[in-house]
Amino acid sequence: MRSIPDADIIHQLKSSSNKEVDGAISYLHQRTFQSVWRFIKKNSGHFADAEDVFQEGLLAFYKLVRQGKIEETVKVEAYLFSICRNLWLKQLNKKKDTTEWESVPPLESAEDLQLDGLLKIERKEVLDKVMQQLGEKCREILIYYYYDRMRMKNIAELMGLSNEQVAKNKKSGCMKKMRNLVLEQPFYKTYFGNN
Amino acid sequence: MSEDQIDDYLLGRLQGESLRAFQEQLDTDTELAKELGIRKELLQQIDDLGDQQMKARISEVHQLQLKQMKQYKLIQRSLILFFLLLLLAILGWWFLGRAPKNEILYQQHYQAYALNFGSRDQAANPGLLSAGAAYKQGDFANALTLFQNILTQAPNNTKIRLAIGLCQQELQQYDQALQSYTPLIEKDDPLYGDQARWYTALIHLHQGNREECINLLQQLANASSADFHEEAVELLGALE
Repeated sequence: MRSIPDADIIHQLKSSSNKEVDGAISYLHQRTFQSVWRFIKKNSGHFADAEDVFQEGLLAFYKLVRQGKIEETVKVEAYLFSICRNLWLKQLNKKKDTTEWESVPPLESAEDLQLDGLLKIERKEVLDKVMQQLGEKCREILIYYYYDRMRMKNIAELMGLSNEQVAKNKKSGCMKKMRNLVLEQPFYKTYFGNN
Repeated sequence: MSEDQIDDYLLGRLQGESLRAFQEQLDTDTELAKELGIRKELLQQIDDLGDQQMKARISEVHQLQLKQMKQYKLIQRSLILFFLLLLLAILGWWFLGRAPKNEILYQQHYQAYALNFGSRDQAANPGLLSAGAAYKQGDFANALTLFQNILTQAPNNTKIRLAIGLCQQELQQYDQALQSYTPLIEKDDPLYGDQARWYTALIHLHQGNREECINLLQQLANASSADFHEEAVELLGALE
């Protein structure tokens, strides 16, 4: 397998082209997955654990790169492996703690926990509904800008908009629409009041 | 505070003085704090959706890679199997290719030895008449039994020992035949040593022991007066 310089991988992951990003992900998979799987197998895990941890690790790595938190000089394979390693060790510790403390009653009452769980579910349902109402183009532009951290110029090119100012206006409009949709929901009215 | 500034703050792009100013205003401006809370919630949702989409892409790449890995392993195993079969075929060809050559040479050079027992022999051992007759008729199993009986009465008779070896060779009892010939070769029997060497050499040839075969043939080839001298020279030539 041809070796690609680390800086090029980082560059590809930051790209606005899906093809380049997927190429970098494939490359990282080829170079790192087997090591992660060996490590997890050695530390009482199964193949399915390795798959989950690796995908979670790769996602975390991708986000760090997009957020500009990883320098181009970093050793990408070692960095990704260390993320996966830490994720698995954390899971192992969690499992260990659960086993050790399962007989001890939780500090919060069962009622509080139940209420907290319900709120989370309700919040998720409300936001899913809002995202649906938002429309595909709006979801796309918001993800490009806030999640993928793309520049307005690239977003304009990708979405076929005439220039970056048009893209910026479109993004602001979508954010406003999302904000209004969220605040219309009774669940959020109690939190934020009427705006 | 502008929308851009709130975005920059939430996306971690504010630094130094701008960041300090933003934080100071945030401490006193309840409207800004409220707006920030709303924005955080919206960004969290966008982040969750982005995660979902990215996870799906990563999962797709992962499945594709696993499929390729399986295909690669399959190709690797097929290649290993192919080369093993090729190696087996080469070895088989080498062994099968070798065996017939020895076998052909053996068939070309082997001839049943013409055993003759004179009246003196028969007078000394009356049983030799029927044993010799069985040998001449090709009834080697019967001849072998008869010769073995005679040998118990005359254990030092080297001709009987040779006759036993010849019968065993005809009956394809090669290891026993070698045992019968060995004392004649070791003692360098003046009457039947050469015959024993020749037939032992042929058995070695048949069994693929070329070195032992050549060694015995060379002994016969070096002595021009030896029985089977010419046959030994010819066979050596064929072997070399």
